[in-house]
Amino acid sequence: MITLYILGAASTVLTLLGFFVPARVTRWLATGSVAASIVYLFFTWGQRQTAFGGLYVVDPISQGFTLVALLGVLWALLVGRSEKWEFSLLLLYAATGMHFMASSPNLPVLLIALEVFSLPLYVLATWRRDEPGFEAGLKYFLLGALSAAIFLYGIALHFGATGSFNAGVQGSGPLYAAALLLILGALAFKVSLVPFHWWTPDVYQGSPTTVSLMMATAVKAAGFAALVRVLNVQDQGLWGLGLGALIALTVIFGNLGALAQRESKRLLAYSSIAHAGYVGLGLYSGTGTAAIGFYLLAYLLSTGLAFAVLAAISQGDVPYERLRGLLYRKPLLGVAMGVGLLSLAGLPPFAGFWGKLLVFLEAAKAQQWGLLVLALLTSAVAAYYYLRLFNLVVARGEATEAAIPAPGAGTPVLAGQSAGGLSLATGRLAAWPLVIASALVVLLGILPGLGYRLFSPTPFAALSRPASTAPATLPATFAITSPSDGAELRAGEFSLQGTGRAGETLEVWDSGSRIAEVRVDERGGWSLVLPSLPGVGEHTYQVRRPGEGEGPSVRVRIVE
Amino acid sequence: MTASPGSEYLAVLVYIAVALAIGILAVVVGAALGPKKPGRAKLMPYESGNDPAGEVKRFPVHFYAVAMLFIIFDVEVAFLWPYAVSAGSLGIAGFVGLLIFTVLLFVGFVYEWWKGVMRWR
Repeated sequence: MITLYILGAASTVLTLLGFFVPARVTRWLATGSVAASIVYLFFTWGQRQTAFGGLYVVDPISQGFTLVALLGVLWALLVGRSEKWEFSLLLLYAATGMHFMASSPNLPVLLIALEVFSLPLYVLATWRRDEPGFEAGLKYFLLGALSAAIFLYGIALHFGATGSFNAGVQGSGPLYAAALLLILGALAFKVSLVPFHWWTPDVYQGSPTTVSLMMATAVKAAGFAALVRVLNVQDQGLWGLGLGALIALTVIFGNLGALAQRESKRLLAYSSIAHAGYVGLGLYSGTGTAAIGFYLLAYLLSTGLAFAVLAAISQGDVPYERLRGLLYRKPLLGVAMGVGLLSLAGLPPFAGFWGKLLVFLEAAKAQQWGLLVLALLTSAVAAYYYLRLFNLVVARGEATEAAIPAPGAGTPVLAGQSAGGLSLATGRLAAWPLVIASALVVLLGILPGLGYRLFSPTPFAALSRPASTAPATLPATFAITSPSDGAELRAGEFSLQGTGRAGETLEVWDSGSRIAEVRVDERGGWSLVLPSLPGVGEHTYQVRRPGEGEGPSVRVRIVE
Repeated sequence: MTASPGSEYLAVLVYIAVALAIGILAVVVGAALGPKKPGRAKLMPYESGNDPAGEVKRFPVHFYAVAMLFIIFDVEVAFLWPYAVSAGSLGIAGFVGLLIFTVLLFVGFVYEWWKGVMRWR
């Protein structure tokens, strides 16, 4: 709740305060409120909270993805400075929208949140008042509006098929599949999965580099947060096929497209498309939230490094040649760029390696062998273009273009481009995020557990106070998740798995007789290897709370 | 008279049809009666005999700005309406909720006012 209050109040107050204080002060206040939200997130990490009748939910998904999104915004705020206070203000609005996007299971609210963070980005994409800037803004706006329309239609069909506006509700039938596919398509626009990626290279190139930094990191986190909630359904069916096709296309076209680029921002745009495909792999197993979260964090740090270095060079285009010998001319920029590129390529000992490993493991868990092999092969292709750029950074020789301004100089790179053109400079502090992020990439590369624990349920238990509000009656949140209802199983080779409230004890019944008791672990899951082999035929396994007569059940058929 | 649900809307439809018919009738009568002698000077746009303003570059952006503001605040009114008719039953919580909503949009209004969107020069 407090995260939302901080961001919402700061956006509202700064809207008017900007008239009275210099843009610099607004920027600091915006940076401070985003930083305060991040700090608050850490102090309440793992606690759950619901508000507004379930429209706003704080849970591990919300916290993890909000963390990544807010870090992206924070970085953009630290790197970019403009003489207009609206620059920081729009970033703050976007941050509020992203937080809401990560924190609502309600589809109409998700749509509003999507618009809340997209509209400021359309404006920010046009911040450079030149032709590529206008092109970027217009493309982004038109395609974004189209995707919102698709999303809305998907919501309507979802309501028609299930009678519920909540994401993750089980349904069946072609209408339900169509609804999920439409929603998947609309969100795929936001996270730029192929074939919904066409805007990405132009928008990343045409936007100011600072804004591209945020688009590439924070927007993806918000988009994937929504995808995790929407696709949180057990019956994979048609949308599973759809997601698989999107991932396959994405890893192929993202990486092959990147091979042909001659401009660094375009390269990073294609690379971000490819990485969206790898994150998509983590979506497959349904339990991959922690892997996705870690991947996005590693990706945020590495791609943020690359974009921040480019922002220090120019807010406009940066052809490859301009990076030649960067390491010797500007050692800090060179090292940061090198670390970022190697991590993006997925080489150990950098964070990107563990990110890739984790989502590949998720794909293996979901037994998506074809996709996994494809992802591995394309990630070998990716090494080529990352290493080519890396090679330029460490190569001896002179850049073909004019000298690069120092990161601390604060030179307005785009000042006075045209009448009414808005300048955007790289801030004096831009060097510190580079140092911190490079250190984090290496640290997470050596000790990935530090980052991974953030996203697995209830880390930081020692830091946070115990939840004081235990509900008087336990909600019906226990269920059997495996095997599925109506499954046919071979005799003697299965275990029951399910969910429940952490720490509670449940009874398992087989066709009317109590066979065992299970204890739900702190992750909210339990599993039971059947104490005796069940006989051939129909079995109805039911799980009950002690003393209650009813509970969810599955019917399975045991065959020889 | 027992009215089936929606029959008063039928009356509105009839009203529109009658108004439309009378309007069309007036135009037809006006077009049918009277002499018809068109000429070049008669068909020219009115500008006291001169050529009209000629080529205009484009409209000032103010009209768009006003139209956009109208849409935003008309949507606000559309949200205020349901509260206005059920204010009593929604109690203090409803009032506070609406107040927050209104203040948020009012902040937007103050922003555009101070930015000078309503200034016409």
